[in-house]
Amino acid sequence: MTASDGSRVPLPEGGRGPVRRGTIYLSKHAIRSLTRSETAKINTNPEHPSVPNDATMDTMTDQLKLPAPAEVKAKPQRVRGKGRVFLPVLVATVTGLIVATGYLAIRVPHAPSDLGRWGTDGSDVEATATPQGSTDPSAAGIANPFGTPAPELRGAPTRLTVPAAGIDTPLESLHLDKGGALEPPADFAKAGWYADGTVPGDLGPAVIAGHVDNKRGPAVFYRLRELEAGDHIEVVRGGATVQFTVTKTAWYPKTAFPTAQVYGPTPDSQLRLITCGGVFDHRLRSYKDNLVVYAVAG
Amino acid sequence: MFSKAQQVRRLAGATAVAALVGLALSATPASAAAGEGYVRLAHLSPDTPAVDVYLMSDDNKVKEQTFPGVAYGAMSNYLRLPAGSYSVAMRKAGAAASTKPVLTTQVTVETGAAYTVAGVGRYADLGLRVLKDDLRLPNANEAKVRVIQASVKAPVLDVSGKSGATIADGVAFATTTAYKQVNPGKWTVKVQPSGGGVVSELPCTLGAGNVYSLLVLDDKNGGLKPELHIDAARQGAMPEGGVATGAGGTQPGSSLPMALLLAGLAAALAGSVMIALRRRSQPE
Repeated sequence: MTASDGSRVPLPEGGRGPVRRGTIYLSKHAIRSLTRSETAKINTNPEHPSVPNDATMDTMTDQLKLPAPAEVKAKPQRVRGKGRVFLPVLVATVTGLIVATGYLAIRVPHAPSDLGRWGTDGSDVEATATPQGSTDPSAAGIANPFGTPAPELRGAPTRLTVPAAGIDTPLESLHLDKGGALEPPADFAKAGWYADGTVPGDLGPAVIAGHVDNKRGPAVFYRLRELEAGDHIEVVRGGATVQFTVTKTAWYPKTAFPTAQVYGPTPDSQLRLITCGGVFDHRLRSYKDNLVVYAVAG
Repeated sequence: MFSKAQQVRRLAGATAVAALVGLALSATPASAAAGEGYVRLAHLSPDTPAVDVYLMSDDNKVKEQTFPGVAYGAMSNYLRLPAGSYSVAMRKAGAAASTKPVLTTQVTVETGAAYTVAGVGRYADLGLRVLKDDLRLPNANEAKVRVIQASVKAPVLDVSGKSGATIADGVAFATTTAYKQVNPGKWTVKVQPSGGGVVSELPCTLGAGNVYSLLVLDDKNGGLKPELHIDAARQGAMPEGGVATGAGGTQPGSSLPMALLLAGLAAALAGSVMIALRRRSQPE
């Protein structure tokens, strides 16, 4: 019997002697007897504190399956020093990762104290959340598409009202910045409309943006995330009120914002309400995602 | 007493569970699909009298609709309909709904898609055709236009800009061209029978990012009547990407330092426990 360093190692009979950690020494006899009867017991035998872990176990079992040669070279499975350091370091790293992940996971979706429309204390909440019959096209009927077009609306939009999210705000005018992106409203308490784009009520997608929060707390579009398909939106324009109905809401990473889908042409009069959300990047002082509420006139 | 192998296995299991929980917690809410598409109706058969158009949802998503007295040249606005299968039928204007329709067809409305269902051809071989309307945004600073040829008096015609830019050549009666991207701006569209004939002109403005159908009809005086229909529109320059609408005031301070601190502490603790366990179980 030869160990990997070439030195002769005295072997205990039956393989049950004082075996040292991290190294397997087995005699021919031991291999045979184990192959015959004891392979299955190894895992559960509490008298084998010598079995260090699964990996060594597997290797050992593999070796046992081989036809026993006259002399088996049982290599030390692990250098003592390495084995002693590796496992604790692994366990420490994994534990650290788990704790950090768990902490971040619990920490990030920080629930605000303001429960908004999903709170259970408001009695009027249920009324706004109940879908109105008019959102169902079969109930409302369809206007004759061959009919004369609706009277033309005039002027800029001045006010936005979203009862389901408690939003009622005057509108400022927004333009594109030098990079071509839509600039956010200057006033955190007001929403703004893209004044070089479609006017709400005209054919196409009108765009209204508002801040989700300022540096201290919630801003005008903080509760925009509560909107659902079927909710109503009103835009006041030149003394008339244009009605919109939410068709869907979507979160997009700003790095993969579907520009064509949000700002692209539409066959009817539509509205997009946009704000921020998701993870806040403290380094860039900016949110990573945008929330887009899609709505259609009517 | 547990063996080391068992301890390690338990630890691995706990890691997996923790990782899964972490994933589930960090998932963002998905958006609800709208599940709606668009259909518009048109009468493009020059010698067919006015018809009543019926629209039925095959799975009763919408009540049956009737649009009475639709005459040659009429093209409706888009109807927004729940995705699904619909039947379109045409009966002679004023005919009872129980009578056999002159024409019927099926249109399957897919989410986000748009269709034009048109009665085309001469009365003798009238058919209902479903055109798929590609309303997607054209390339940057371009407009999209196609030709719907519904003039039997000029069975084949050419369409171009007065400046010479071709929109479509040799468009046959009762056919529709694919959308073509053109420069936006002021146009004088020329419509002319292939091989020569009276030229009809249509001054119009094509907006960047908009989608148009140029419908060519016979007019009552024997000439051509081009009409420009807006299929889909938008106004102004396209904004790039999203909007920076938040200053972070509702977000807690950065959680990274605390996470790192906790990770370090946990790692140190786990490491020490591991080493202690080993020392104990190892008779030296």
